[in-house]
Amino acid sequence: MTILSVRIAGLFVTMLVGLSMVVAVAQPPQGRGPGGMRGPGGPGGPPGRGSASGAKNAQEFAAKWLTMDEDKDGKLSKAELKDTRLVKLFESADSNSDQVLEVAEMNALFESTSKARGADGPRGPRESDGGPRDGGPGGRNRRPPPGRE
Amino acid sequence: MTMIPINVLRHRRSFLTAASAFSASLYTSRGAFADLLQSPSVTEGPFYPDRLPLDVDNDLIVLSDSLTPAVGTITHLTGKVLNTRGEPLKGLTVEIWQCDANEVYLNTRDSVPKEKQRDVHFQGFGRFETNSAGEYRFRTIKPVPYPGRPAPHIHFKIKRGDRELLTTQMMIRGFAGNQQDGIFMNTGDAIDRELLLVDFLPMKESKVGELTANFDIVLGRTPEDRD
Repeated sequence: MTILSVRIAGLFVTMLVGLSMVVAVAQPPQGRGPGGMRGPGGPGGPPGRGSASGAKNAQEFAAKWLTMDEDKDGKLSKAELKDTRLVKLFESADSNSDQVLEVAEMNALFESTSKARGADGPRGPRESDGGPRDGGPGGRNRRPPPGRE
Repeated sequence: MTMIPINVLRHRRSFLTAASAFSASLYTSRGAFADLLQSPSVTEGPFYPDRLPLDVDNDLIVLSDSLTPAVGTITHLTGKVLNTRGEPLKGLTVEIWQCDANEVYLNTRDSVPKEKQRDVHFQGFGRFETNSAGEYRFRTIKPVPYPGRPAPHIHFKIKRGDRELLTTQMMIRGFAGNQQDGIFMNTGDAIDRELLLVDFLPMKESKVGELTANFDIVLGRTPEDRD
């Protein structure tokens, strides 16, 4: 009785351990955000940080600049900026013209550009472009004749 | 012309290769290093051609069998498709589409009601495959604003085969209507919007007022890059 129950208990423990391992293996790999699990079906969907949605706050905005911070000193120098598309924006944000974009300057740029969006009133109807995209209800072919895109 | 200096990036290639191998499974982490930031996606809009024209080459000014050029300011549009390490992505299909100088798209939902308005000589859509340097090239017209879209724009789709990697739009830097354009102003943050803006500059050797425009596009990791 005792030996049998020990054996059964042991078997049970073994099964539990095995099951937990299977469950562990079945988990998605750690370190992949939702973007990492996005399959090939996501046109325009950048894996990881979705640049289309933009930074939600000043911290995220600064973090975006700092992905180019090669020496990891917490600021972005002009020499580190290899993306020539961003030179003009860098210069406009570099308020003390020291060729270095510090977090305070990144924050100031985020604040000024976020406010501008709210004040100008370009938020009106996103014309017919704002309607559902492909696959949505009333998608591409069922949409009423558009005014303008 | 503002070409991204690939050569400048080369000295860090070995470091980056090692770093990318190390971080292959952690590529979504925010701390990941990048030379170039990803181009933002922007809505496709309702007027991707529903019937492709017979001529889909990279010259949108002249239709294959026509002698009459399109109306509009001729623009030589060039650029590169790169990854965030600044490496060229070859063999990708770049598609562009835009309305003609009379504000009509090559889509029957727009072109049929405006049959008399449209410029029948404008191709409205074009395709080009990036070369080994990631470069593409089109001859088209400078985009025009129209009611509902105060920001003149050209639509882009980047594909690998049939698979869409990015849908976006480019706009004219300094055009006043951009600030009133819902699509532009609702795109991401200040960096994202900056990445959509393109200088339209006089073409030096042109005597008829042609323009040049350079629009580099940076893609994030795609499944093929994960190896």
